[in-house]
Amino acid sequence: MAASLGRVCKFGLLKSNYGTLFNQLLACLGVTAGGISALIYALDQSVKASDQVAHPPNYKWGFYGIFSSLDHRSLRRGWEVYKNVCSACHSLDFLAFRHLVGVTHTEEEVKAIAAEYQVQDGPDDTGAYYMRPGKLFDTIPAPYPNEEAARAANNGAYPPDLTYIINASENGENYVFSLLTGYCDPPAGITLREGQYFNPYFVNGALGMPQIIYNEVIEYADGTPATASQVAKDVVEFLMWASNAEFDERKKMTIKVIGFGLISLPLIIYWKRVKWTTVKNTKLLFTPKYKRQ
Amino acid sequence: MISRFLYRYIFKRTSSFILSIVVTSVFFERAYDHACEEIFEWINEGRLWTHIKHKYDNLPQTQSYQKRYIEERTSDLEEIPNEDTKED
Ligand code: HEC
Repeated sequence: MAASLGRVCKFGLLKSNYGTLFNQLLACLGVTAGGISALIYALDQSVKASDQVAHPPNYKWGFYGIFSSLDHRSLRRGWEVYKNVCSACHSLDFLAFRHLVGVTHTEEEVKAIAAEYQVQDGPDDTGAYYMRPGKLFDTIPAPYPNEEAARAANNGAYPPDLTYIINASENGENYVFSLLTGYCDPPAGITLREGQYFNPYFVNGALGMPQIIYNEVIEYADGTPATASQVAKDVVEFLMWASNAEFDERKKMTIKVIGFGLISLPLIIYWKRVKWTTVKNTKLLFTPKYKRQ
Repeated sequence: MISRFLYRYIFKRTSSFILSIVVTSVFFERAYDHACEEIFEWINEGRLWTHIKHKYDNLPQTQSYQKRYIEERTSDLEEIPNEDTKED
């Protein structure tokens, strides 16, 4: 072993004074970086018992498996929930109607959905702006023209855009699900202002959004019983897709990468053995030169 | 025998070697993507859009010939509601 190593490295590795200053510095740097990462990880794993907020439990989402896609039946219902409930206050600015095609609805259906909205277009020949029915390429119209209007209509609280809300909040899908289903009476000592509602999952508990999800709050077109948890689950799964449009593609890519890794592993092992046979089978001989007498 | 053949016609010249790499990668990639797609759809049976599309997609021009053929010939039959095909 030492002999083959020596042959490859020209005996460099076997010398005792190998560690130069640069290498020692590099080692120090590595140890420091590893230590800091471990510290950050440890801090993140702490109990977090001091904040005044309930931590959402981790639910068993159907899309949690490493190969599991989003459930498109649920996405379709989730769009229904957004359209009939959340869209009264929340925008979905970064989603266009065309994104729904082939995900939740067929092209014809999305065209019909878009045509129900009126969007502003223009200018026309006279320079005036006019309203026309929505088209596939329009983004989904927002309920309020600007933030001030949204605040004025909601007691000063601003309903955030929901497109990336799952990625924007920590433990997104569990947080939003818990938020939607977690309303309860405020405990003693907490006073709420006008237009505030108590929700233990919201920091400080006073949320500007009333409870909007109840059993049978909407009726699903596919006949699924619209219990409160079903409605919340469907809208969260839909928002998960809105935040991660490439979700299914990623899961498919996982299969491809693992499969290709399995195929190339034996090839790489074989290749390594081919390359190393000469090294491993080389015998070094030391023939001392005796002086002729 | 086979190795002699491979050597003479593929590995011996760089040009034929490269050509063989290009040709096999085209076919391999096509087959591999297809296989992975099948596995993905098998794992997520019933959850993907391709699996539920047929419920909403009833346009005559997008239907396959066979489906249209069957539907044209069975449209006058009475439909009996079936509990099993109801969605969950
Ligand atoms: C009556 C109007 C209204 C409706 C309907 C509504 N919301 Fe809200 N929502 C608000 C307001 C106002 C806020 C801001 C609350 C605050 O910051 O205190 C908000 C905040 C939120 C937040 C962010 C909470 C945070 O951590 O800051 C989420 C997530 C949310 N809503 C989801 C939804 C979903 C999903 C629906 C549909 C099921 C919905 N909302 C329907 C008014 C509404």
